[in-house]
Amino acid sequence: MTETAVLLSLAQTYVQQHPQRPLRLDRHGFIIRTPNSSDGGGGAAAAAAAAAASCGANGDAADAERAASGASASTSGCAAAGNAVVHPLTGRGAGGASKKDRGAGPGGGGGAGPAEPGGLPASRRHRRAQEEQAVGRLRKWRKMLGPGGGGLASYGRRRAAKLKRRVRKGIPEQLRGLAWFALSGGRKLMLEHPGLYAALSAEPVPPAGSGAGATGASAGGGSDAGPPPSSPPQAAGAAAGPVSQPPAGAAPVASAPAAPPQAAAAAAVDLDPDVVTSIMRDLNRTFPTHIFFMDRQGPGQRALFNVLTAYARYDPGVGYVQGMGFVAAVLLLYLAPEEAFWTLVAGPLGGPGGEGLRPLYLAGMPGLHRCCYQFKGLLRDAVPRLAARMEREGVEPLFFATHWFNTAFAYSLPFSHLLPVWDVFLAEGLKTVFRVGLAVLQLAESRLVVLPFEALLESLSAKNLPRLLPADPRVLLRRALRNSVSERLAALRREWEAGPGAAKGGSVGRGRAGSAARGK
Amino acid sequence: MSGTTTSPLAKYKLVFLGDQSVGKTSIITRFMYDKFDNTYQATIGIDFLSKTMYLEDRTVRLQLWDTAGQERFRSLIPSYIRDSSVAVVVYDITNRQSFLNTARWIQEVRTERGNDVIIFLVGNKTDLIDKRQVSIEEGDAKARELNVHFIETSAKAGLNIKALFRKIAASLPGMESVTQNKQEQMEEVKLTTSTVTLDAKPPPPASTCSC
Repeated sequence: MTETAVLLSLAQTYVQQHPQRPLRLDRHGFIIRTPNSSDGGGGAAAAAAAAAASCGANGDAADAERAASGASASTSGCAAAGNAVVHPLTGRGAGGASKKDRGAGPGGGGGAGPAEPGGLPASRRHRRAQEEQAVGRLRKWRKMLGPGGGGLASYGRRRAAKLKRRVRKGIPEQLRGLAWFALSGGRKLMLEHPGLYAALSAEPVPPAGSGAGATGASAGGGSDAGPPPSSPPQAAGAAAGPVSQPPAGAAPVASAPAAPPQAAAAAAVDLDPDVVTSIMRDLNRTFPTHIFFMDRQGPGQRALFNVLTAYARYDPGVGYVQGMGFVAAVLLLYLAPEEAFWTLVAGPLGGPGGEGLRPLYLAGMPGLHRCCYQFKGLLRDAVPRLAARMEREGVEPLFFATHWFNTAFAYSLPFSHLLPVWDVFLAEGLKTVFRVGLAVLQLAESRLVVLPFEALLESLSAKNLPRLLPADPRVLLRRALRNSVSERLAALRREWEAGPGAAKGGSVGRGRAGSAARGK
Repeated sequence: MSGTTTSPLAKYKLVFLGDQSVGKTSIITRFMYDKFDNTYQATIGIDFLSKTMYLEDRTVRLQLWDTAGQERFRSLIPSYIRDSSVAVVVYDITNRQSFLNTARWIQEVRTERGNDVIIFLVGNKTDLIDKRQVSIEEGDAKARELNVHFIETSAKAGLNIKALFRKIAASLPGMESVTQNKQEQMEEVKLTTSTVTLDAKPPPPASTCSC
């Protein structure tokens, strides 16, 4: 079953279950809530979903603007729902039963939107230019990545600066998953550890769906989820698909994480039931309005459960921490579970040069406290008026930026903005989160600096954050990348470790998930 | 923190604590918007909301701090509890462990705030009658033992949510201008609330919050 088929069947199931509520998705697969939907019922919804499937492959930054500017709001089906398909679930394309097709772009490749709704001539010309640019970019990326992403590493060694520049311009949507996989170093780790994910994950790797009836949700807390000790290597091979075909051994650009634990041994360890419970409690609270994750028994939640339990076994020192689910979920929208797992290990958690989120997740969250301290320092330099205001009003970064760091913005940035940010985040690491955080506040400074305590905190809450952002994600990223933070971050880190951090360190006991009794 | 504002409103900080997925966000959402839906995201770190509450004799501004429930976030909690007037410690009546853990949450609050805080113990999810693992008597007994207020709610059904916040409002220390013997006031509050608790005690689904 192709990913599009999965999406369509999800959409149809939804329509059957909610005949009175038409299903409309934004271009990233999130359900658009229409308070009192006046247009038709199930039929219309199904039509929208079908339209979504048919009007495939026009997903680039240009669309974001149109959507943001409301141009597509008036057009029906295709513009609103249509783009959704390209994005999260496909990213790899309609016709692509084989994941190899990712290398060649989704279904229609660069053929941008034949069913594109007509626009004004001027905007059409603008659009044409952007399409051409997108096609060119796609070609360059395909060449850089090589088959299965295997070429990126050597490209990065030869032309590091160029690769960096291209990442910052934005990875083409169709190649995003593959590029993340290669850039983060996840691909390298996966090739180095064939079969390990299958051993770590709670159930045999899903695709082909033979006996995958035991869903994550029904896995009964993992008591029966002992990992198959000698799971057949084919299972991993199947999940890896074409990725394991290309010449092995090509080192990815980013270095592997500092601390991949005693992995093979961990595979044998069964999970603390509290960890499993904790993961399960959050499954349907992770992007609950996204078509892929909304269904309790759906493939999204199942994959999320598998990846998170696999990670908890792989890295018992971290286990599961609220927030990780959002990080893993973003990856799962672009990658198969095994690839998402290794990308999670190498990218968000490991990070280039070990600058990942892992320290933020350890007991006592030492990394989070440090990040908030560093951010406060950066804020004083970069946005002094606002920083002063915040300090006067008693607004601490810990009060609004916890999930910025903890999820690398996956929790609070809309996907239109999150994705280009993550392109850079996966290539350049945690400092990207600082830069973007600063940029958000810089761009909204004049609005924020006049606010008193309550309004300030409310404006910065996850729910309201999108309103502070520029409509064009590129504006945000450009501002972010102008903030040079590395040196200051290092200095602030030394300061923290010598001062407040030293006092805090290790004072907090090992964390355990709260509850053993699980309401079924 | 309210030093620079010109508003004469008395402001109170309420912090919501309790295990993962006991319904802290749902209670707040029911109070704020009088709605419940099944698509909440897990709260990561902290969420902040505020609302003005109009009472018979006065108006108060409530600042609601919603927190992440997972144990791992404990090291953040003291910063969130700081300066709070009220701590609402929530458990899920269908999850005994979450009830047992309330003692630690309450301890956390006492450590940070001593006696300068009013604590409410809230058993949520009373709509799930057949999954109940903690009886109302147990909840009440524990509240008495720990000397905190107690109420059971259902954010989903909208049961007792308004009552909870009315009780909270009733227990708030008087407006800054009103000088009153603090000890006396606390006694008074305890008296009032225990009667409310009795009223609220038989919470058959029918007794939907009358307000």
